[in-house]
Amino acid sequence: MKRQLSDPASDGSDVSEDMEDDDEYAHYYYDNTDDLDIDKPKKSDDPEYFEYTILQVEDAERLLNEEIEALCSALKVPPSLAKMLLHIHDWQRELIIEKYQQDAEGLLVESNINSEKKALVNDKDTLTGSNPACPVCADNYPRDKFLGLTCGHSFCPNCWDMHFRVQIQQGVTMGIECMGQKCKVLVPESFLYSVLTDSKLRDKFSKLCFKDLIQGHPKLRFCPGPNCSVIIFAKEPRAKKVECSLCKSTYCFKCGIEYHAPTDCDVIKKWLTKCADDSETANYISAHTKDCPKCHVCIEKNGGCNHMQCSKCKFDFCWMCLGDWKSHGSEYYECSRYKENPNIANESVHVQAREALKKYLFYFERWENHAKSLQLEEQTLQKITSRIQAKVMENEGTWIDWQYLLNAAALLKKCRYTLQYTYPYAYYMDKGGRKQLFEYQQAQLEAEVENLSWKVERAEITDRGDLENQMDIAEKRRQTLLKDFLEV
Amino acid sequence: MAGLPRRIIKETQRLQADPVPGISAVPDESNARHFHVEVAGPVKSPYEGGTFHLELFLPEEYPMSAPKVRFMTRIYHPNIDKLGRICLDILKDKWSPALQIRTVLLSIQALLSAPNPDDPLDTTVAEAWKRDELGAIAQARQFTKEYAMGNKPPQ
Amino acid sequence: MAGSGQTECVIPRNFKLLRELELGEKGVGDGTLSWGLANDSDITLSDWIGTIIGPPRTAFEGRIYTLKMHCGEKYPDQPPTVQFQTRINLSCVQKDTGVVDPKKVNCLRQWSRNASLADVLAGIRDLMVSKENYKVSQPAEGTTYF
Repeated sequence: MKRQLSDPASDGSDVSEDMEDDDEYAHYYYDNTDDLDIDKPKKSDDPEYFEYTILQVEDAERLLNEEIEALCSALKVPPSLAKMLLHIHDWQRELIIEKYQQDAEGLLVESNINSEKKALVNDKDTLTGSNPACPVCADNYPRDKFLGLTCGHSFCPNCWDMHFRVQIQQGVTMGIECMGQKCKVLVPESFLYSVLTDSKLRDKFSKLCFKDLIQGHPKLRFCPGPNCSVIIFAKEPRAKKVECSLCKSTYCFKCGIEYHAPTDCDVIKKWLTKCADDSETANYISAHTKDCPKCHVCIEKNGGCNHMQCSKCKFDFCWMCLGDWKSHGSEYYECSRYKENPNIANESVHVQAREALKKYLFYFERWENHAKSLQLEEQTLQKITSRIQAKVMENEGTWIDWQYLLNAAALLKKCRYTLQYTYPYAYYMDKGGRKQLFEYQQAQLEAEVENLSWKVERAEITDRGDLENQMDIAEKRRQTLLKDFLEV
Repeated sequence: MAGLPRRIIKETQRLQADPVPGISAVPDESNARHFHVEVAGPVKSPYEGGTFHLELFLPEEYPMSAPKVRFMTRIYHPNIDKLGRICLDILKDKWSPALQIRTVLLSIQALLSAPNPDDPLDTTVAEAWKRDELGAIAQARQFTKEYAMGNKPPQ
Repeated sequence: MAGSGQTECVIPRNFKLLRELELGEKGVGDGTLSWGLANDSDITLSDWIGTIIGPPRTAFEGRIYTLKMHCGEKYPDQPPTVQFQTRINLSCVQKDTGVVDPKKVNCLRQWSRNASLADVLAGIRDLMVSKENYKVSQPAEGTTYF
């Protein structure tokens, strides 16, 4: 998509002076109104709505440079310094300008760009004779060869060069410090370039710097997809879903791992670590087969739907709790709710530990089960696709006629995905009214997702209107839950 | 001594001419970057009375990179592991080319006087140190007696 | 000055071995080779255990071979001595003891101080896929020399 150039027909005033932060990035996004793509929220009342842009490396470089130049002209400082200030202060330009105007020296000291006055040394004075020895290599050089930063620590150019070499090899770029003992003063890029001669290393430095800058920029993130080089730009960085149009990977903008609404970044990290640590304990429950609770015939789960029907006795039951399915349709649906032992505080440590494990396994089992259902439903989607293909070949309608089936499968996936991520959220929730409300909505969503799954698996014998109605209900439940519980 | 940086030569000379109290550092006959070090256990520490052998090596990038140091005498200390590796910030990210062999050895001596169980290398020792400091100190004393007294420098 | 040793930077035995240990702990390559100290409190850093996973499409496929490696005082100026613990029929290994004949492994025969325990393991694995060895019948799985 082409970037929009500034409008020459605008009123002609100098917009760059009082440009609002919001408008500044306006030319980096484009409207994405692809109505068929139900995965991308559009409406602003949608709790998952998120505006972001995919940038190529050059676009991102340009964006950084524009921000740097804007600060340069506001403060009348060189680019090398502006870049450091922005990087150190999370690119909060307004804040930097304000602080700089109040107390420029204070800001530079606080940012480790200048040395504190009282800590100033002057090595040039302590260097003795006209041919002093460098404090690092102990070799003698003419006095005027010595170089240093605002702190006054002076060293020979060879030592600086060597220092930069070693730091760059170790991957340090924006954070290279002066060689003085305990000296925190940072090396500006301009100083580094004036010393470092090796062109390969200069190149490496500039590449690593760019990486550092992007990683430190709150509105930018490298696409974590395998071998994907693009950069995601979000005007308002949030823990929202990004789908890379290039590599197709989806993830959370804020933390870069798999999307996890309604759970937040810290909690999902805690949960995933816990699951990795406890994987052995949890292994025993990953079996694929269970016995029918009525006639005890062995049943294998081969679809994503948790509403099971025994192939032998036709008993309808729930795969998770093995209870009668009939009780799952009502709001008394309790399969997703963990019932804690109310007297737990008075029990022994041993009993408490067992209870803690039981609680974890309860949530893990449901989390894991939805993950598996998602995989199985992926197969259902493939089956639907090939059946549609067959129908089209036999002139039973066109692709467009059958599109609703694919939409239903895609929506099911989306709803179940959110449902899966409600379990870590619930696990870490404190007891109380809010948890009750959450569990109520979770149960509602659980019920409608299973209804939808049941209908999608039987799509050809389900009435289209009935299916679309079910889609609508399931998505509404999902939205309701997210509106109430997704931190915006 | 063509090839050996002047800085290393000067540091070596100074270590001989003006040694740090309680520490000796002598370069290996065949490798001027490899030092045989002896540190006396600081008084009032559980290491008092012991002589600890260490080895120190100045890598090619020295002084832009920190020296490598390790204990060759067994020691019970939360920041030193069973293989004698030392957890000390100035040997890692807090290294500065302005630091010297002398300052490194002084810091190691100080580490013996003030173990830091909150930044452990050997977690078992560190846990013992936090759980039962007196017991850990007794254990450290026992190790000193067993391994660091009357011991000959390792080959 | 006599001797040219001063001009280059020679890494001493123990620091070299500590680096090898760190590499082994991190794990390098495809994971078919691994190495570590036989005893994690061996302050002399002398006795090591290595493993080689038998390369695919050879008689060694799917088996895990354990070897003992000993680094003497003179390591790395002198190569380590190597002995298989897992029984194996391989041209460089003495049939009744499991000892590796250094003359029959390139990397041990032409030992350089820059070579490492990982190189020794890789050299032995290379012999497993060589023409003279890859089809040789092997002792029962799980049998050991000691």
